[in-house]
Amino acid sequence: MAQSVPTPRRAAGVRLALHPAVVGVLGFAAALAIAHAGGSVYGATLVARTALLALAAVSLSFLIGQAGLVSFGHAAPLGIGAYVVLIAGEYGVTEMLVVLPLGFAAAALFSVATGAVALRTRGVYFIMITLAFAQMIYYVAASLSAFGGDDGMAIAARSTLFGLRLLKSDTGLAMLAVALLGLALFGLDRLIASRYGLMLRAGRANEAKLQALGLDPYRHRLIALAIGGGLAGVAGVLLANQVEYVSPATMNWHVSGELIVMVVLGGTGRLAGAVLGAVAVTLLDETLGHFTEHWKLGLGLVIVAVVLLRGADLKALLRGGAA
Amino acid sequence: MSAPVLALDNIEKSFGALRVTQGVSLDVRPGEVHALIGPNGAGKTTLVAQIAGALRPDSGRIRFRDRDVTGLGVAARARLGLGRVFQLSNVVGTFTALENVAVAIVAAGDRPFGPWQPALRDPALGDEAAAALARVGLADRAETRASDLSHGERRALELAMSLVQDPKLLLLDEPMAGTGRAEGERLTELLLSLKGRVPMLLVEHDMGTVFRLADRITVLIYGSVAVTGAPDAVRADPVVRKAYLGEEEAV
Ligand SMILES: Nc1ncnc2c1ncn2[C@@H]1O[C@H](COP(=O)(O)OP(=O)(O)OP(=O)(O)O)[C@@H](O)[C@H]1O
Ligand SMILES: [Mg+2]
Repeated sequence: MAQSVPTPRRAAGVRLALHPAVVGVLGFAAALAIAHAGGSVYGATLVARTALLALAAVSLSFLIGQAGLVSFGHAAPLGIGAYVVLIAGEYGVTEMLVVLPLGFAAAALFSVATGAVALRTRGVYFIMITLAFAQMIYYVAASLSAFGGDDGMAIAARSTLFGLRLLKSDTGLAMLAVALLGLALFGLDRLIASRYGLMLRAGRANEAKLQALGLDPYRHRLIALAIGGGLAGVAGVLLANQVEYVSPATMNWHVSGELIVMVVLGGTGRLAGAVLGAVAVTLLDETLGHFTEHWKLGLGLVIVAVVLLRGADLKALLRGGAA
Repeated sequence: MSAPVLALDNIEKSFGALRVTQGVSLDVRPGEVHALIGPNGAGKTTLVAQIAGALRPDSGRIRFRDRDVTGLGVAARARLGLGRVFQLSNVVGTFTALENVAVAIVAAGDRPFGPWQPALRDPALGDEAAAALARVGLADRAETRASDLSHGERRALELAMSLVQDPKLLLLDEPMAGTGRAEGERLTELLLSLKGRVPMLLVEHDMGTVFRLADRITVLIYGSVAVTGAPDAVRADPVVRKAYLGEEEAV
């Protein structure tokens, strides 16, 4: 897969302007501006939702496409981020500057703890074990009767930012989500091109050779899981704020599967692909979803077609990246 | 003679009923090119894999640079200075030649976790990688994807990746296999230029190359050492002539 290592020949200014993070942020900002001008509340909601799902998909794309770690349990860190909002809210903590790092940390911790075990496996076994861990945390969440148990419950209040109620409207929330998505795209791109990223990608492409060159990529992968999980946690914090309700359903394997669909749909080679995938899935959900509950059957067909056209992607997926 | 760089002591390895390595003892001395030859399926690659740490011997000890490395994994042995060139060229196909060498440099270096500076825009890293490519004759192929290189060029690239790590011993598994005549010649010249500086354990079927490079030769037949000695002695050995060198006598 072509790598997005920037070519040094292109002028720095042009490179920055064409950076996926910049393009993505501008695109979302334009959508938001149009929605705002049209006085559409629904538009802002849609942008917020799409951007935060894109953030979750990008964090998964980093794991799948760059680290070669096909997690089928990415809904778990997403849900953990959401539960952080709910639980912190019950204890009176609603400041974003506290909740956001807390959501990142809790989700990263979960990903590292489960990853330490999961990384002993490869390929399909890694997929299965991440799924199993996610289902475990799903049942743990469903058993938290103080926090709504099976049904979940409404959050105490939307988070404040700098103590101000900037996120009360979906427009404010959308701006935050888009900004965080841009930051994530930029930071991850930088990480991928770094020495750390070079080792991570080499480990995905040819682990035996990397070992023979003296580097066991285990710790690199563990760090990748922390970062990918943590960012999904951030997305979960945004999600809880957007829906104002948190339930175990967020951690359901359906959600993990949908995130994988977004990543594969957009192509695993570039992080920006996951953004496109997230936009496509959300838009399909919003349009076809109104006509028929069975729209996912149609989506399934689209995915099969895309995957067939991108045969290499599927093969890489099944190999679990690290051969 | 000073202590050997590598010493195998009575290595045994079986795959089920098949004893692929049978009580093999051999050593590689400082600066020496030690060739390991033997018919197909004699167990040469399996032995190399055990030296590299990819396979565990069932019994026996492996000493490398005065250290018992029998219990160490691949990465740990590589960090001690064990460089391996695989029988089937083993590079990162999706990376350019330059990126591959950069991987080798970073993997062996002390900063494999640097998270922020773009690796390939670090001039020190780029220069070192470019120099290593020039050394093996790949200067003008730096930006080519490894999967688009010819077979011989990939071998050269793999060698560059090993050399940049300043190996204390090179394990070469059939470096000439599948290379064209001109490429093979270039590779042999390259190995000749390293001779005396980097000790090598050279597995090779091409007898011309073996006799040009080797200081000593060990012949492996059905997993056990048939004979070890100077090239002339091995060439003259009746067992070897019968079992293996028969058709190569002209060499
Ligand atoms: N993982 C394995 N499991 C079972 N048998 C194996 C395994 N690896 C190798 N063998 C067998 O061990 C024997 C030695 O194989 P090896 O590859 O070491 O031979 P070689 O001397 O390198 O041969 P060649 O010259 O063809 O490269 C062969 O009979 C092979 O089929
Ligand atoms: Mg072999």
